[in-house]
Amino acid sequence: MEQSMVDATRMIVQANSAIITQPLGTAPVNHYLSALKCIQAWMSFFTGECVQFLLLVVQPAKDSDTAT
Amino acid sequence: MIPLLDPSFHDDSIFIATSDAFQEITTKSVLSDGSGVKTLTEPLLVWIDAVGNRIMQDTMSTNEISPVAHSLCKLTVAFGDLASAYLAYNISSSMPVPTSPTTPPTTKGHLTQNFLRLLLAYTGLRGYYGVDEDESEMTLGFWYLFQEALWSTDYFIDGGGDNQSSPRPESGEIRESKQVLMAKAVYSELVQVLRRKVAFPPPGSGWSRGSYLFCLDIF
Repeated sequence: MEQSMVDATRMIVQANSAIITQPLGTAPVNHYLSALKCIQAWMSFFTGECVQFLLLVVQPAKDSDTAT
Repeated sequence: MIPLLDPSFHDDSIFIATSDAFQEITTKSVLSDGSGVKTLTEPLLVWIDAVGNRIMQDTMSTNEISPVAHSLCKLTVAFGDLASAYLAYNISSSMPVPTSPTTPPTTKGHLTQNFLRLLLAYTGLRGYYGVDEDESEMTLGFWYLFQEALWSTDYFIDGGGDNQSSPRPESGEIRESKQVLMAKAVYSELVQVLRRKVAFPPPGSGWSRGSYLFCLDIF
């Protein structure tokens, strides 16, 4: 059981980081809240690599920033 | 995750949820031993310097503790527990820390002092604990912990990694005397703040005997 939780951590990190990297205001507030709650719940299974990944993911530049 | 800590966004719940997630990281994750200096400690200090202090200024000017300010207090306290050794070691450090590509770098000492100032502001919030505010008591534990960290900074290993190749700008003794000086300044300010906070309200302010005892209990 424990091992299958650990195995799933990468997927959880990927899925949640895809949500929280959306610039604020572009996705419904509930999406961010669910993702953040999910991250909290999984915290004890995350390896250092997972936590660092979540900390370092940056939001992609907004369209208005990239359009020149 | 730090960009989600945006107090200007109209819905406070995202700030609070992100702050909760950070508290979870600082207390329960594998980085809770303070090992993530470059990924967790320093980025959060830079954020506190820029955004956290702004939230505090708003709180001071409106004299009202918003849910965001309350959440920031919980985050600062959780972070203080995580980073007390780092903060004690770098209290007067002049080692540079990059902030962002567009802003000039700052120093570890500056960030640490700003963090302590923010926490001190929470400790000394206007009004009486339990009546006007509930935050000041949360910070008290940190000051004990930080004091112990200051006594044992010799054992702190700078987890910076990439700093090891560059020569230390100051010898241990100079660093220590500066550190003691700064720590003394911080703690004398803390004593002043606490003396103000433990004062009884003037007679006739409508406090029941129970509230007085409650106030005594806390401090």
